[in-house]
Formats: sequence, structure tokens, C-alpha cells
Amino acid sequence: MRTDSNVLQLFAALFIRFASFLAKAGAVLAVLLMAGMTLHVILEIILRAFFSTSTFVLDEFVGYGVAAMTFMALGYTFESNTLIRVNFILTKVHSRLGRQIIEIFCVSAALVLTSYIALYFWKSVARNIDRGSTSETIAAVPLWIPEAFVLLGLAIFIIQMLAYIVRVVSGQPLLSEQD
Amino acid sequence: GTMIWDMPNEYPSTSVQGEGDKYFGVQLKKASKGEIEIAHHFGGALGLKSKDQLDAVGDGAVVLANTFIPPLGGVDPIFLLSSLPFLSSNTEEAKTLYDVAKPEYQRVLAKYNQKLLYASPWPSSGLWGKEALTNNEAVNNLKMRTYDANGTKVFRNAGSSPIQLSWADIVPQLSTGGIDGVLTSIEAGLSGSFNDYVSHFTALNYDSTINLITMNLDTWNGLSPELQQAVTAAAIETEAHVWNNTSNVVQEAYAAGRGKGLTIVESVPANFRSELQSAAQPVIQEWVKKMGPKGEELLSQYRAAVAKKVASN
Amino acid sequence: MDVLLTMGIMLALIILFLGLGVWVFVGLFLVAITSLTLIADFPLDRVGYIARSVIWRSSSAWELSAIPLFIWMGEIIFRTDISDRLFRGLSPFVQWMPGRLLHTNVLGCTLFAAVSGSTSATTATVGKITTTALAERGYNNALAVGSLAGAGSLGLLIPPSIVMIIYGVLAEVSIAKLFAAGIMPGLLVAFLYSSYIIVRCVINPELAPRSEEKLTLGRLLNGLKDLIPIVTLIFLVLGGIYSGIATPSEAAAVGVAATFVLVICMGSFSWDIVIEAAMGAVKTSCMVCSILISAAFLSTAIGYLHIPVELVKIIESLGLSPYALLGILALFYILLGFFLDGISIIVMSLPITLPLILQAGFDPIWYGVFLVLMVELAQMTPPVGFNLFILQGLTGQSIGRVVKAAFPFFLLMCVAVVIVSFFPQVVLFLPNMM
Ligand code: NA
Ligand code: NA
Repeated sequence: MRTDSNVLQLFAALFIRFASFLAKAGAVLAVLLMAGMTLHVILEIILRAFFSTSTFVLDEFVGYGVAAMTFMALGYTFESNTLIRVNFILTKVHSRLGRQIIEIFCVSAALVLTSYIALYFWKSVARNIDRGSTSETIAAVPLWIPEAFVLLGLAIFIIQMLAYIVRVVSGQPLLSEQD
Repeated sequence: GTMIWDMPNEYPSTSVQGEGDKYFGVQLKKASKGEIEIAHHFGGALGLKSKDQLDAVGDGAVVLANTFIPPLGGVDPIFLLSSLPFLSSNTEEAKTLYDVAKPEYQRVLAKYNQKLLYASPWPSSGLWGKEALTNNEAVNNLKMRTYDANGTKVFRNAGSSPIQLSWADIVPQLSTGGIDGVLTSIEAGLSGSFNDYVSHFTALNYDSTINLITMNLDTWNGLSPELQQAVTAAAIETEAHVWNNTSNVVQEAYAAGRGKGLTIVESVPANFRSELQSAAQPVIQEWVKKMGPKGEELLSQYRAAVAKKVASN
Repeated sequence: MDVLLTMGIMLALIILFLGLGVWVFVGLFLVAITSLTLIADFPLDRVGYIARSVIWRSSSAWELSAIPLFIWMGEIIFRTDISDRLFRGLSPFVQWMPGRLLHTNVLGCTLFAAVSGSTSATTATVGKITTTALAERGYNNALAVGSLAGAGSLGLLIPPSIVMIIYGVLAEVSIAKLFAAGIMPGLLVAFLYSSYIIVRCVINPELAPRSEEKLTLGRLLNGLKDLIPIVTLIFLVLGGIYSGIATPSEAAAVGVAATFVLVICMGSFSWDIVIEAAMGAVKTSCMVCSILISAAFLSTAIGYLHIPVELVKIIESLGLSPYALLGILALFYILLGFFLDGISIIVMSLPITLPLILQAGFDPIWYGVFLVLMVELAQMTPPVGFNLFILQGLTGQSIGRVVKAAFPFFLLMCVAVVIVSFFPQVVLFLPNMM
């Protein structure tokens, strides 16, 4: 019995660390995307000012960049408690169990919602691979690639939320108790 | 009760496409004896751009939509046909091109679970600039904004320096001299008040782009024969109206532009046009390659139809 | 269904979901999905396809890139001594003024508005630099937060402005004239805000810490020296845009690059700062953009529910005199502003309100400025107000406190609306000179 619970705890700890690692990796990728976007704009300005030409894909690529970085960073932003919430009921509930229950409700709602959205992104990615659709620009980017970043970001976010459920159930501090 | 169909359109309610939609809404309400009403969503108010609308209609997110088709060129090359440069030189030829390609449009749209109701033309694109752009020297090294990959290639071949800018950046770039020319229609340029910064519009008749108005196939199949009839009748009526109205729209826009002090160059010398046409050939060949035998077939059908019309006049 | 009942249900849903503590972006999605399925009776599958399209379209917008990049710039400034020098440099100049450094939000936002076309970027960037600094120096928190909530939205009124470009295209009026029309009302709002701060601080000097400095020429010169970095930065970014080298959409990247160069020249470059700033920027912009995306989906839902059209039908049926019409439209926009973000308010309602307003004899350029003011008001009203969310994120204070702090500035903006309504020359003076 005791060994079982130890094994469970070990798995829980490993899962939380895994989710945290993924979230961090997503954020690092988001930083790289942000730097890439900056460099792309600077390159565009230089090409236009000094060479009278253009990369021809600036708004397309930077657009993909913003979408990708937003979703890739979602898990990390969640973990660091930067995603805002209004909280006025949570701060009024004094029983810890009550707060845990509300917290589980909130995460479950977020989990159901993001899984539902991820399902439709999945359908779109699969369909665009199947059709071989590309963007209309000179780059002709296969449409599934930028959308796959969104899907990947959502996956990281979902894993992060599952890890948070484990944290809440195992009695670790709630996000709403931080700072 | 009354069915209310949501119909998105990326363009403002006052644009030719917006006016056409409103006309269709009136016709449909009349033909269906009030059983179907259109809820218009202009200016992209439903959060959709034209390139999203193919799937939005196919998936049933909206019942029908008015869609600018060139951005769908990466989904199927047929959607690039109407934007091929210097293929048609007036509204009549543009209509001929559409009529020739209509079965192919219908076939491809059916693959994406939708029915073609009708096509609605845009006034053809020309060049906005600081002078009349009617010869090689004027266009050579002109720093200009194009709106698609084809335009970029054609004007690069013609010796210009096409660059890419988002629509919102055009005015700031014109005002600071970052660019000297913009390839777009008279109507679009006036709505962006380009006339505050440049003095000339040269009607190059660059392409003959159309919007396609399509409807979800499942919704269509679920309609009673009478309502199907009503939709078809309204579509036929609207299509005739918008095509007949195009030259009026252009003339009105010209008058509005002149009223604002814009100089409009209505025709370009034939030799200059043929130079631009040859600059466009590689782009057209590239499209034919993408389309396969069907592309060659459509083009020769179109050329034959144009020749026949010329002969009969 | 009755449009007011629909809006009531949506409001109840927003209060329910956000009140329970669901993350704001999740809550807004849930409200939109619930409304579409329960009120409009859409199947879940249809809602899923709609959600995917709208999320993708609104998140992959090039215009959005200004948000992460300006925030990154703000994070670097915040972490280097550029921001310290800014406050040190400003203080001898403002110490004769009641409220002293409290005016930095208004001043900073007005200047930043000339670079940035969006509200979120203005509020987040200026807020990152000022909020901590003002709190550390003992300035009154409510005035600091409130003035930021109000002045942040000057980004839309003072050119360049994304909202004005969109209005110009939809209403077919000259964008250059619109830009000119926004300048005076923008300065008017800034003036009202600063006057309010002065009045409050004259009544209660405790709101700003006492100054121990004596005003001397030496201090002024030192102050000027401290202002060199920030002035250089503003000069580089503004110069980039107004010389035509960069476009307004590119200003944010120019800002980041210029900040890097400046930090290297000042010798305060370190990889730690760069990485910390980048990670911080990614977090903040993820928070802001995720809310923007969910708000875009909420406004799509409101479009599918035909709320703006139905409301305008009611207004139209009243047959009002011009000023009564304007008053009702102002209420209509404040009501919509509870739920909607900036640009969608204009896009959804303009095709129906513009003909009414032109018929009543109002100038379309003037109406553009009126609408921008309405959008700015919407940014400050709960439950869905971006400046409120951003300030909650920046300061960690409860939304209730932020709303309370913003309320006087909301009222002052309403005063500005009344002024430009009765004195349209304030708006039309500059464009008429063109
Ligand atoms: Na601005
Ligand atoms: Na609001």
C-alpha cells in the first residue's frame, strides 16, 4: 500500500516536472520566434530602403509568428501565474477545500475548452495536409505548418493544466495563493 | 418562419461587393416571398477574411459568403485564373473568361461542399502614381506596392521595384515617399484616399478579378424545390445586375476621383500594353503548368470566345 | 429573442465565469460558445469550426506583432537604467507642478501614442516602465493606475492609429484628415487628465511625495543629461516613421532594435537582461494576445447574434433629433463597449450607424473621432476592458481596484466627448486647414 502511494507520488512529481519542462521549452521557442520577427522586420526595412525590394512575405510570416508565439507561450504563462483572472470569489472562500474545488472547476473548464479548440485545429491541420493547400504568397507555405504550432502550443497548455490538477489534488499551493 | 442566413463579406457595405450583396438580399427576400432573409456582415465583421470563407461555407459556419478568390490560389490554382495579369482588357472579356471557366469553378467548389451562386466583378486594377504611367520610362524603377505574387513578378519583369506592404501601411508610405505607386482599382484607392498623396490614376486594366458568391451544399440540398428556385432566380438576377453595373461603377468612381482633383488616364498606348503583356507571359505560363492540360484548354477556349465576339462585331 | 434579454444573459454569463475565477481568456471563450449554442441554437460542431477560423485569423494578424515587440522594448527599458534615468531626469522639471511624476503616465502615453497605433501596446509598455517606479517613489496608487488606464488609450486618438485607418476605409473619408482630426482631441484628453491630477494633488498633497530637491540650474542640466537616452529612443523611432524608412506597423521592431543599440552604447548590455526581458515580454504578450483572441471570438458571437443591428433598429425607430440621436448612440456604444474590444465595435456598427449620423447632418470626420473616443471608453469599462486587464496583469491588483481607479478618468473622457460634441471645431480645426 505504502509503496503504491510512493510510486504514485513519484509519477506525479515526474509528470509535473515534464509539464514544466515542456512549458519552458515552449516559452524559449516563443522568444526565438519574437527575435525572428524583429529581425525579419529589420531585414524588410533594409531591403526596402537600400535595395528597393522586399521579402514579400513580411506580413504573412510575422502573422504566423505572433500566432505561434502566443500559443507556444501559453503553458509557461499559465505556470507563472501571468494569465489573469478576476478571482473575487476565490479570495472570499476561506476553506482550503472549497478553494481547491473551485480551482479544479476552473482548470477543468479551461481543459475542456482548449481540448475542444485543439480538436478543430487538429481537423484543420489534417485537412490541409490532405489537400496540400498552401498560402497564396510567393513563399507558398503549406497551411498546416503554422497551424501545427498552435496545436503544439495548445498541447503544451493542456499538459500543463493536467499537471496543475495533480498539484491541486496533491495539496500543493494554488496559483491563486501565489504572490 | 423566416430563415436568416448570415453572409460575410470582407469589404465595406459601400463597396461594389457590398452593394451587390445588398441587391442579392433584396432579390432573395422577394423571390422567396420573405421566407429567406440575409443578415449581412460587411467589413469582415464576423472575423473572417476571404481566404477563410471557402472553409467557412463548406463547414457550414456560415450559409453563404461573398469571397474574393485569388487568396485561395494555394488551395486550387483555378482561383487564380481571374487575377492572371493582362489576360482580359475589359469587363466584357472578363465576363467571357468567367463563363468559360464556370464549369471548372463549379466542379472545384463542389469538392469543398458548396454551390456556386454567382460571380461579381471588381473594377479592373490600374496604377496610382504621381504622373501618368503610360510608358516604359515611367514604370521603370517605380517603387510600387503590388497585392499578390503575380503582380510582383509582372512588375519586376517590367523593370519596376514592387514591394509588399500591408493595406494599412500604404498611406503612411505614400505620404513619406517610401513608395510612389500603388497597383489597385480606382474604387479601392479612393476608399483609402490615395488621392491625397498622388495625382494620377492610370487605367491599365491589369486583371479582371471576381468574387464568387457560394452557398453551403447541405443547406442547398435541404431546401424545398421552390426555395431552390428562388435562390437561383435571385442569383441570376443579381449576376446580371452586378456585371451590367460595373461600367457605371467605374464611371462614377472616375467622376468622384476627378471631383477630388485626380487625373484619370483612361487608356494606355497599345505598344506599352503589349510590353506589359509580354512581361506577364511567364506568370501565365507558370499558372498553366500548375493547372495541367485543363489550364491550356481554358485559355484556348477563352481566346476562341473572344475572337468570335470580335468577329461578330 | 429580444436583444436586451440576449445582452442580459451574456452579461450574466460573463459575470458568472469571470467571477468564479476562470482565466479571462477562457471565460470569454466560454461565454461566446455558450451564447452561440444556447441563444443562437448553433450545433457544437458549427461553433467549433467558427472558433477555429476566428482564432486563427485573429491570432495570425500582422498588426498584432506590435504588441509583443513594444512590450519587449518596455521590458528592456524597465530592466536597464534607462527608466531610472527617465524619472531622475524628469523630476526637476515637474517638481513645481502639483502631482509631479504622476504626470509621467499622461505625458509618456501621449508621446508613445505618436509611435504606436494600438492601445494595448501603449498601456503595457508605458505601464511596465512607470508603475513600479511610481509605487517605489510613494506616489498615490489609484491616480497612477487610473491615469494609465485612461491615457493608454490615447494610442488610438493620436496618429498613427489602426482604428482610424479602418474607419477611414469603411466610411470613405480621408485618412490624413482623420489623423489630423485626432490630434487636438488627444491633447484635450491629456490636458483634462493632467488638470485632474493637479486638482487632486492641490486638495490633498499627500497623493504625491514631497520633493526635497531645490530647483537649480545644475539639477536641470543633470536632468537633461538623464533624459538623453529616452529622447534618443523616441527620436529614432519617430524619425524612422516620419522619414518613411519604416512604416507605423514596423515601429515596434525599430523600437526594439534602437533599444538594443542604445543599451549597448550605454554599456549596460548583458545577456541576462536580454533573456529576462524576452521571457517577461513573451509572458505579458501571451496574456494580452490570448485575451484579444478570445475577445475577437466574443465579438464574432455578438455578430452572429445580430445584437448591433437589432439595437440600431430600436434607435432608428425612435426618430430622434440630431443631438438626442448622438446621446443615444453614445449610450449604445458604451453599452456595446462593456463586451467588445475596440476595432470590432466600429466594424460591426458602422454600416448601420453612419447613414443615420450623416442624415442627421454630422461631419463624417468628426464622427470618426467621436467613435474613437467611444472605443477608448470601452477599454476602461468592465467586464471586458483591455486597459483594465493589462493593468491588473501589470500591478497584480484586483480588477475591482483597477476599475475604481480608472473610473474618474472614464468620466473625464466622457467630458471630452461632451466638449467635442458641442464644439466640433476642436476636431475639425486642423483637418479644415489641410
Ligand atoms: Na497612435
Ligand atoms: Na469595456
